Amino acid sequence: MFLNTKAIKRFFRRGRPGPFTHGAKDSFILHTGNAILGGAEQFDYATTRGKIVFSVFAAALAIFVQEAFFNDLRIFGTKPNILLALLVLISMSSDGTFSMFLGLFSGLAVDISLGRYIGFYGLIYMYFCIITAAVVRPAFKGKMVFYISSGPVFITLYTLVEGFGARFLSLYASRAPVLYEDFFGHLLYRTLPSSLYTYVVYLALLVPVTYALGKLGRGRRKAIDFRG
Amino acid sequence: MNKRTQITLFALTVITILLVVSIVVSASPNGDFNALYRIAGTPVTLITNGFRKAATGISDWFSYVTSYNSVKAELEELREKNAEIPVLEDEKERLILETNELRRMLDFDDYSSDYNLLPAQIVAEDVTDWFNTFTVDRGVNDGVKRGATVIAPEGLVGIVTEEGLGSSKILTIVDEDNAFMCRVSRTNELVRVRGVSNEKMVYELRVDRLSSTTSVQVGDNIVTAESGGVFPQGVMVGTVKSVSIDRESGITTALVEPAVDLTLLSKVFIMIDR
Repeated sequence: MFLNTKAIKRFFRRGRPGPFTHGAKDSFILHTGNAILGGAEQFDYATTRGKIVFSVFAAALAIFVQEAFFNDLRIFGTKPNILLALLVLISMSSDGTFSMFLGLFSGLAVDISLGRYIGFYGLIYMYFCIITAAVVRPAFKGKMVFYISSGPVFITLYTLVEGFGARFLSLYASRAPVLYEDFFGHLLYRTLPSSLYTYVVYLALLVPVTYALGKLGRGRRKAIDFRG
Repeated sequence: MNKRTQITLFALTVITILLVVSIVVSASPNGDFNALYRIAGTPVTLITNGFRKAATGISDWFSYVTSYNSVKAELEELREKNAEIPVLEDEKERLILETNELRRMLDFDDYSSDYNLLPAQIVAEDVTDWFNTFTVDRGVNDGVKRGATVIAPEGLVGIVTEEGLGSSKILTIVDEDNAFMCRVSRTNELVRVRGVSNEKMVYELRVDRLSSTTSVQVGDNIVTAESGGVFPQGVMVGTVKSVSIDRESGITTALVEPAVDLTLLSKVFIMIDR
């Protein structure tokens, strides 16, 4: 069942905590997340056939949807990266090896069909997925608040690394005179807006993707534990 | 460290080396992965095109539903304009004949007489906008060749860098890899124009070989020159939006705003040799 009625009842019985409530146990986000995601179980990192099929299909769909819709949804010239948002979510809920291959093949698909340098996106998506999975697995333990709060960190770091890689390649291959003409301008006008926009997409995908991955996990799963 | 981890680390190292080699090869001037693109690029482009058409169809359907009255008014207006078409057709024929006659008399030849313009739809863009490329739905089967010039009604767009069976990749003029010779329309001065880093999401060109006695000024139009060797002569490139002199070196540079707004582009023309 998508809505966990018990969690909703518990949420209302305890009363909605105010914005200055201390302690993760009673925070508004945790209880709301618990109520909305009640049907999902704690994230199971093990790779199952269902997870593989879902992830590959979702990544392919993300590439096509990105090209069909998101190029036209620019705000101040910036567009979100739906594939990146999806890869962060899947890597957070999967083991390192699977994340590595998903990042590699998603990146290569982008490189071959839409990119300019074969291997560029393959390399950075692969390492990005490995690092995300490696950091999240021991630290997060399926806690909703970490998934919400760490999203901007991962996405901004990725955008910075991608920008550096792209500029480095320009310097090496395209006769660019300098690495950055204006690094802080680059940060302000490109990295941060792009990261913020991608984070909005990440938040929109958070519930459906984690719900699906939770359902597709292996064996008997524990009840969700969103309490800090 | 267990055996599984060792195998994973070994695979990671091998894949990393292969990817780095692949990047270096594809970034070098002689690097060629076009065969790979021909196999993999076309199906992706076809599917993307299908998604895009579906998205456009849905969007159009909603716009018809929500703007019925304005569509009706537009229909009436178009009916009235249609009535004028036969007269305009006659006028167009007359002007074409007159233009050709004048060109023949002046022995004047421009790019439009040497090329067929193949219309193409943009079906995909670089995911992150870093590499100033996009993909169109025309390829080898339509006669597209690598190095073909791509234009829009407003002016120059870029060049074909990879051609698949039913799709091609275009590198736009604002990329730093593009440097080509142009002329200032007003003074006929020969200048070199090149793309500028888009690290701040600004798409512009730089004129970086201006002589110390240059008279280039803001508002001047820049067109491709005959000596560039990359693009045909006389295609509109853009308009000078600022001119600056470096006090230390004394070098004058100008920034050019492209005639074509590359962020709003959806259709282009590929110039095919006749």
